Amino acid sequence: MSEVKSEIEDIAGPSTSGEQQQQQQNEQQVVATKDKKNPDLVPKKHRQRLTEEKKSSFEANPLILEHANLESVPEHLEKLMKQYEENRKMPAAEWLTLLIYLLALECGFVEEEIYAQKRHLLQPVPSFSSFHALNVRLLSEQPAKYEVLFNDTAYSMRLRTLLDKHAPGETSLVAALQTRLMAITLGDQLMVTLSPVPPSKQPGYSISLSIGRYVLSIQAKNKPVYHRFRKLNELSFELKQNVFQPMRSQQLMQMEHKLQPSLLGLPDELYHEIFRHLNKSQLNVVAKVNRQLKFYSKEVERKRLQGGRG
Amino acid sequence: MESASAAKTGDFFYGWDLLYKTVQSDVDKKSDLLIALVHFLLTKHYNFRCVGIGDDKTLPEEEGSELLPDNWNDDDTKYSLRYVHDKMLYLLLGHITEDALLINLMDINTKKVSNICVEPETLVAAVKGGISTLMPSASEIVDRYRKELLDPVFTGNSREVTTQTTTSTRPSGSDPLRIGEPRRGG
Repeated sequence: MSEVKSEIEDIAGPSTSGEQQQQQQNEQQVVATKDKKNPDLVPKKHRQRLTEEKKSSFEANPLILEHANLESVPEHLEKLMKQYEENRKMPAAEWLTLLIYLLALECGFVEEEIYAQKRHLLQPVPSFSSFHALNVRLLSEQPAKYEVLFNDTAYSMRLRTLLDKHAPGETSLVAALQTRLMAITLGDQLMVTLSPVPPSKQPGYSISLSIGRYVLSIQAKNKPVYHRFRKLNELSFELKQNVFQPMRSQQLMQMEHKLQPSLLGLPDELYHEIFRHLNKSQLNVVAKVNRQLKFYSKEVERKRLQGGRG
Repeated sequence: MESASAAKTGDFFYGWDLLYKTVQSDVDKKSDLLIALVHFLLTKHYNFRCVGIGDDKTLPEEEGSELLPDNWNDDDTKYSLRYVHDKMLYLLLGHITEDALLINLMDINTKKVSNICVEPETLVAAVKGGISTLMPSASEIVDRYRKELLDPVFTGNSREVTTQTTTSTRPSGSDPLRIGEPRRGG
């Protein structure tokens, strides 16, 4: 029993997201309120409640790989792994490549050939986000498309970044959204590189992963294949932090998309609504921030003067 | 900025002709020259020493050489070279895909890895001649090698900046909260 518990802790480990911590804090706040009513019973109830909290700290239906555990995995992991049930003798490096592919889907990337087939079914992904559950589940319903190269030591796939409904159609801009993922086996390490397709001179992103750390070399009988996977929270963090999110941000910056809701990403008419509440000296301060805000603040001043003359 | 100006001076490529002469008969494809240029940068300007081919991660006893090893380009699609600097082992890997050469440099100790993707057909004009005939934009290529291949992995100094007092800039990827390069107002 203790081994099962340690395995459960191993596959998930401490979460990197704030949601679970917030949930635990909320539960602890509920515990504190109830204990005030029955002070004599506080120690016993507190011990019981802590045990219950520990059991419920793992999500029943995790949405992303980061929150997967041995008892419950995201739907897209289960769906993709089903495609490979007959192929369990694949090398560990290839299993790790499939996990990397799933993380790419979670970050708003899609394989180029699959995109051409399924684009009419895919939902737009806003610039300030990257994860779209429906897209990820749809794309995991079929096997990943990749090439095995260099005497079976490397796995290569062409990816494309999904954008919102205003995504451009011009060839030159579409090229900016295309990348190549290469996972190269170097003994016990898998060297992962995500680079823009030539002739782009934008930088790529790479990381080296220990294969055995995330994919066990043993497969338990009569257990799903994802029981071989460990530390998916760490794998998710490393790849999203160092490879997929930086590349997506770089591409969006290249296309001058605003990355998150910000003062610089508002519709034009809203600037007048906001800045008309500022006085002249405040408008001068705003004008010194950057060219864009200078333009809008000067527009507000000009309209104010025109309104005054009228 | 120092690296950009250094690569443009005549002295920077001093030694290239000698290296090229030793491998001229081996060179049979354009990507060979791009790999030879990385090797030149590593050995001439960063004090790396080449200790052979392959991807063995054990630190060798030999001191290494400024020459490219035998059979360095025998594989039609892949390069794998080993370097030592200050008793630390590095792997330089090159993979030729349909239209590009992907080069990775990996510090075996820290597992840090960098990458650059270059196009041999665009960057290499000829396989015989001086540096400016072989690669007319050699200075620009070297600047990209420094920025994208070396700086993210190698924290030491190159020979040109050993007398400089300014510190090298930190890699742009070190701040996880930053998106893109720092922006300036105006």
